[in-house]
Amino acid sequence: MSAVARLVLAYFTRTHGLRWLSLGGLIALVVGSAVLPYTVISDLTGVVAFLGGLALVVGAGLMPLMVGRMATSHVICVLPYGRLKLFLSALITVMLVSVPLPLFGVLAQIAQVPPSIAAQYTTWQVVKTGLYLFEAFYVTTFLAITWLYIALWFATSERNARGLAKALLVIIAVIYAPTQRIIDLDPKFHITTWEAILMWGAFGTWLAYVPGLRGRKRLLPERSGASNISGQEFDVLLGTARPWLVALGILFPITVQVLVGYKLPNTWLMYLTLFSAVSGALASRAAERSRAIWLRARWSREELFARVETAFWKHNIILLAVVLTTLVVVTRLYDLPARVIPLGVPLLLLGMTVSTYLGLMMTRGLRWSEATLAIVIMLSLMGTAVLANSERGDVRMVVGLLIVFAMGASVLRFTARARWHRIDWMLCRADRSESARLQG
Amino acid sequence: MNSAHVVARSLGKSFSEKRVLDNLSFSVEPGDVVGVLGKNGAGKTTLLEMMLGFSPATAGQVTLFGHDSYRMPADVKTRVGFVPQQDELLNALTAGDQLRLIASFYPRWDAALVERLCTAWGVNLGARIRTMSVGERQKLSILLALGHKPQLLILDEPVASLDPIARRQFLEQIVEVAADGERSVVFSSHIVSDIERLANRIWILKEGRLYWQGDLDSLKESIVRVHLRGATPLPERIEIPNAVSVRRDGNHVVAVVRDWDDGAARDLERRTGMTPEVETLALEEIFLELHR
Repeated sequence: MSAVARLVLAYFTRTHGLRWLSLGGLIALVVGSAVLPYTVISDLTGVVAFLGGLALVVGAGLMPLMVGRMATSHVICVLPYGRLKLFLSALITVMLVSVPLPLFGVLAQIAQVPPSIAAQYTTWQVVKTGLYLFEAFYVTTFLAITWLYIALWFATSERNARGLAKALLVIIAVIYAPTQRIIDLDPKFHITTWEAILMWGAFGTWLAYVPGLRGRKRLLPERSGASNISGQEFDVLLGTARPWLVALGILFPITVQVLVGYKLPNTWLMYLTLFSAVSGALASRAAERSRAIWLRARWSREELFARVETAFWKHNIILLAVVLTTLVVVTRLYDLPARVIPLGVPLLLLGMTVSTYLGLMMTRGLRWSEATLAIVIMLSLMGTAVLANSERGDVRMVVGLLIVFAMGASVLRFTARARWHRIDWMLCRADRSESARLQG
Repeated sequence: MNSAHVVARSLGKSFSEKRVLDNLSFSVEPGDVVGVLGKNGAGKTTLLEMMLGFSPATAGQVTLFGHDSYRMPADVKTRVGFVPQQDELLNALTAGDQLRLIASFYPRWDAALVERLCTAWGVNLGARIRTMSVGERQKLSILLALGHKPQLLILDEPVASLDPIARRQFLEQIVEVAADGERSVVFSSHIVSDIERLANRIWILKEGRLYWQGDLDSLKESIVRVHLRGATPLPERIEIPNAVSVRRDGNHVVAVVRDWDDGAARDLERRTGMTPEVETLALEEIFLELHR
């Protein structure tokens, strides 16, 4: 079991940033469990508890990538019970990170029961009810986090249009399935449990056979001679040569969403904002890819940034056109409030702008500061989208937030430009950690 | 005007608190084939990448063809070829596409040379890069660096994944590159025999410092194994100047000595009263002795 425990520990402590996040989540779990039952739940304590629980989920965020890599490595074939241990480590991690949110939920529920009513129940009855609620919340959370990690796995292991499409599709499923049940007022917890068992069963089967599948895949005849060069060599090297493919990656989950008859039209703007932000984030790989370009092209570091920026905007403009067109279509299709378009258009534009410059700012890989900024920006964008979509939302507040995003985008651009002007390619290689770089 | 392809003066590089390169000064002249030796973590990759201007120096400066490498102008870039330790090939492309892609960046690309090497090295231009083995990818990376016939070729462990035949073919190609006396090559490798066979200058990096630089013959003459044999038991304490290591076996003392020359031999004979027997070392032995 020590190997499994070490793997689990490694998932939570892989980087400095994740280590602190996990620690924060753990502290939130302990403090929250001790304090919440005796506290009057306010919005603030609720948000703090939620963020604490979320910190643990994000703290193990690299687990899917690590498990995926180990599962497809040759080493796993020679380690004793390697696949079983890997499976157990992943399962235990998801079980652990699924604890805080339902626990806080149950504690908050119990704390809200008026003392006069609480007095009518024995301690055993309270515990029994608490356990029932916890079980119900826990299974749903466990399933949702499983889906979330699958999305993260797609997004981190396949950093291309295919991976993006898969990740977005899974994100939709994560939000769609539980919300559908909330609307139907039918928790169907036993179905959720079976779903979770089936998913982990499928994962276990995949894990057991993946090396064999890889071997068979190699026996397939390779296509040869096909040309991929679009004529824009710079874009090919930078990764901006195929915007239409990324656009398809966005359109695919949207189409699926429309076809299954999505029942929460008020969240469309939030989805599209998420899509525009994720599309912009493709710029985060620009720095590491640009080294080969700089060594061969005629440009200085300063000129290189200007070229890279232009290339990403040529790329983004197509993606933006896709999400804006989708916004107009779904506004009419689902009869969304008229304000969605005037508020949504600048929001989608700014979402893409902010995430593009945040991506371009990452000239030293994904560090703690950038990761935090990315989470804050993403949550702010989502919040603004919900506010803009709601007829009760204050328009002035939305406009104010849009102005803040515009100012933020300018600051991020300024920072990205300054960083590119003194870019150090020894520090921005995704495939090598700093310690490895120091190996010489 | 200085004709050197590369000149470094008091070059230093630190990452946070860690000093990776410390006060390095060297030059690479036309016709030089420089082999860079060093243990893992000695700073070889950092040194090569600093020469290419990928990262700013924290002390000193490197110039390529008279220009600061960090601000390398366009015409200098066309004169430099680089093979990174980890290739930067695009998996989605075919080998042919990748070659055409990189060729498009250079005003002069020797397609005939690349075609000839592709045939000789067995590179399948139609193969998709994601399906190629590590060795095949490395061959392709080398081709990408040779196609524009650079005056300065910098290679970071270029032969690590090549089979012996491909390694031999690659080394022959490097000899051909350097043979005209106008071009230069700097390469790092852990395969000491390749460096011994190919390089006419050796740099030994140790803990971020250039422990030794010079031509191979000088290195072999400078760092030698000295045997002192006495008919009677030798004194407990024998002081051997510049000794890197000393081993004693009864009446026999074996020492590896650096900066060895006739003066050092006379000095040792005077000190010990014995005539030292000198044994020349192979490069690999020198490297091992220096890191013992």
